[in-house]
Amino acid sequence: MSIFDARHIGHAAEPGAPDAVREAASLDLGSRSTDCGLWALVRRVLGLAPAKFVADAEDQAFGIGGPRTLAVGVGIALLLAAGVANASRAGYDGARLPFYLCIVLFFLPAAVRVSLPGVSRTERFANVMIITFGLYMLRVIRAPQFFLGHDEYLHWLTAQNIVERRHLFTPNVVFPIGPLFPGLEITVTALAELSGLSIFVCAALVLAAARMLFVGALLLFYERVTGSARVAALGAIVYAGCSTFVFFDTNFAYESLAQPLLMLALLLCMRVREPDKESFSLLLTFGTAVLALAVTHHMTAFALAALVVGLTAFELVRGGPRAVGWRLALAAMLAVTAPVAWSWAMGNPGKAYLGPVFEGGLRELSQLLHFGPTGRKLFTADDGTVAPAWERFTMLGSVVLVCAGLALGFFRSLSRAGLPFAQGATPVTWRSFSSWSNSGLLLLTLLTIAYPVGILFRMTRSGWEIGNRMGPYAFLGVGVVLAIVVTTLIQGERRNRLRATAIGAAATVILIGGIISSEGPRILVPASYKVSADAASIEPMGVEAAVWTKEWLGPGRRFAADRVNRLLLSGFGRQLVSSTLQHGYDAGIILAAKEFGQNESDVLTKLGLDFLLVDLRLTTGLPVVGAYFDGAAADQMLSVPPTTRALLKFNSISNVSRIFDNGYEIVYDVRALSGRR
Amino acid sequence: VADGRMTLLEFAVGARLWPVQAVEWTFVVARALVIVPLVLFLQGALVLRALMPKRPIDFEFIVMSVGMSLSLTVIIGLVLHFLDAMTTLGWSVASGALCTGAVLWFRRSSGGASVLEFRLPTVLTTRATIVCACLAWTLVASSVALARYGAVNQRQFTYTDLWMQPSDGRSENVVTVGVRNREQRSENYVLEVMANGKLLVRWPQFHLANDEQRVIQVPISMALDPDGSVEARLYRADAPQRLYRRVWLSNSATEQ
Repeated sequence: MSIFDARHIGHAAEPGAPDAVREAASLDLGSRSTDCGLWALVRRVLGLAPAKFVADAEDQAFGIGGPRTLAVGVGIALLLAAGVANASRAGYDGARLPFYLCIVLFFLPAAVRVSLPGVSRTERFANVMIITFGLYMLRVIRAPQFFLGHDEYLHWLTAQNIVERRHLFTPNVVFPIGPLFPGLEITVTALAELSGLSIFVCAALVLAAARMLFVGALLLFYERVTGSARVAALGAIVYAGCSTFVFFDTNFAYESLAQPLLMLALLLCMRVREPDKESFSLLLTFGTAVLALAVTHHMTAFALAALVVGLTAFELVRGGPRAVGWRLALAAMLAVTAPVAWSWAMGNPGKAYLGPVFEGGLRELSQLLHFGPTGRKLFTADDGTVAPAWERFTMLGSVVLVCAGLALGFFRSLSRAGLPFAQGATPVTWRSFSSWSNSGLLLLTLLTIAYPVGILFRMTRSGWEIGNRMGPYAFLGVGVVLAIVVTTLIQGERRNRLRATAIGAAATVILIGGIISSEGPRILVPASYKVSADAASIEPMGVEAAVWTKEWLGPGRRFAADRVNRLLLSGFGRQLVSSTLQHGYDAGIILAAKEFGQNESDVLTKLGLDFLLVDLRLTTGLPVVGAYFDGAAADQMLSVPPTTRALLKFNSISNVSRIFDNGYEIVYDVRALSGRR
Repeated sequence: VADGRMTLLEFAVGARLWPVQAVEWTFVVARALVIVPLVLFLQGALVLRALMPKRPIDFEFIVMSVGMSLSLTVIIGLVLHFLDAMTTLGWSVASGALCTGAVLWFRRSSGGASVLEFRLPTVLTTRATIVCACLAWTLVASSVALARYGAVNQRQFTYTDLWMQPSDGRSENVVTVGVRNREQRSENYVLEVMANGKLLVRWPQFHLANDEQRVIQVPISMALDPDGSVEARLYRADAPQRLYRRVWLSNSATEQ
């Protein structure tokens, strides 16, 4: 029996979505309006008609266009991508376009193949898993030596604390909330303890497993919701276009494990609804995943709770308590209880951490809706770099394609979910709105409303973060709705290769647009250093300076530094760096101020600093990510780069020692000023 | 290593004892090959087999096993934290006990059946598939190696580190001066150490190969003024008039 065999997927093995079909067919659809003129056209375009379903082919041996060829193609594309990444490191400025073409090289054929009818479930799923692995490896190729993302360093610090102290919850000054949700770090450090490999390598392995888990669970979840392996595979292909999918959610950060656990829990939630001898075991597995998720990430755990409660509520409205069943009710209770209990036990840290983000985002969104200034220029980085035209068009193209897909697929999906009014029936009673047959698909379809809302948030500076984090949930719906458009409207049952190619190209545009909107010009490490640009600022000299502090000053010294050196000092140097988030004072003003006055002296004393690391490279440009320090008072002081004179003001202050100099970075010993000597 | 001890591997590399090195590398790789699947898949698979002994091993089972493994690891970690046992031994015992318990439970409930009995699909065992898989893995490994080579050899900056530290406490009148050459070529330097603004000692020919580092203990033969300092100045021999690097310790800093 094949490991991909569909016979164990319950109703999913049958063609179409039996729940939706059977129950929709049995409904009284009410009086139908007469098809005529414009209304008929609108109904046809929007899909306000009973849904049709297409059967998948039986399992068969892989064809030439199948996973074997794709696997080799992915290998070749990755090799080319590695060469292009090296070319970028060597100074070739035009490397981004060839890098994206390497992605197209393996993604496009797979997307075309997956969209065709008559392809076996085995091949569809294998193709999707292979391209998932290929997309994951892009992350490894981009950062093969050490972590490059800002958030990765924050989590690395927590992981190092666990390995060194053999305890959880050790405070992390640059990321106070992180140690309270240590699921990812526990997993990575467990692997590091047992295997003897480094945290960096173990993180890459855990994230690879998490990524495969996510897409595997997504495929099975979609298949279980829609009853079609083709829709499931196409949905997963579209999901890859979510801006967080390729890079953001493969960072060494808690969402990267939380999202797969959420997906597993959703799959198990669908499974526990079904009458099954193993339902208790599945419920136990669900409970384990939910508990691990609660320990891993606050927002994702609450998002799961909302999704499971939503599903339960839909079932309750649809069919009453009997439709819900005790297992689904218990699952909903578990999904709510676990994150609430864990957050309560940890002192509800999310409120203080996320509150300002939501406040700022909503305020700017309100300004945007009133045509006020939002502080964000589209397609322009904070250092003034404008995205090239092809990137702008691809990004816009991906948004247009998704919006068009949603316009065409929203009612088609509702129709497939068995909602009578979406099947063309005139709503005459309340029952016309509440008698759907597929609560899972209804929930996913309604989730797509989050997509345009997320786009609006992304147009603001503070709300960008919210819009970006909404993406993974919105795309749960977007994936399946667009897949339904393809299978019921665009491609249907025809094995038309031209249409399949067009569909594959559209999916590729959505994918590339998602990557560009997430990474922009920072997708590859450039040859030259850039100010406050995370991946483009983390380079060997800075790393060696941080390592020097550990070797010669010892770990645990109190340092003030800029945003990037703070990461390096805490990660490689194991120093206690100062952060506004943790200490309430912005040490950046000590570094950025033109003179060392009473205010700077007070902050220095209050923070009890031992050393300052001054990076003269900050004088060379505006910060790419918008902040030299941590976005607080010091950054508000700086509308232009700080001057060399301001940064070197400590040269002329008595009792300050200048203990390290590499020409770009200087370490000052200020213990005599802060009273720490 | 940080605490000054040397692992067997480092000793072997240093002494060029290649057989010892090969044995140790084999051990590292073998250990990883056993542990990685155990932590990321096997422990979840065994627990799921114990919970659902009649369930076939299919795609869904594999997906659930990975998820269960990751979830269980998180929960085991919490338990080990509260037991104050987040050590290699703690993890080994906990993981081992979980797997053994799951196997025993499965055997009891299934009447002694094999715990991971399943057959690979035929399509995965054909010669063409195996050849393609090997080729694909080779290409993937090569791409990672190539990317790593590029990253390791990328140097945005060429530079020289100069630093000064108080002595290690054995003598109050000694400072440590370090120079490290990262210019990507051999370099000749001139190094001067001054106290209270007066030249104390000078190295007119100070040669360092690329990546070479030299650390010097400099005795301070004069008493420092209250606002005085010990200063090291580094010049490149090809531009001796231009101060290249400069560090100093104030009087208060030398009294450590």
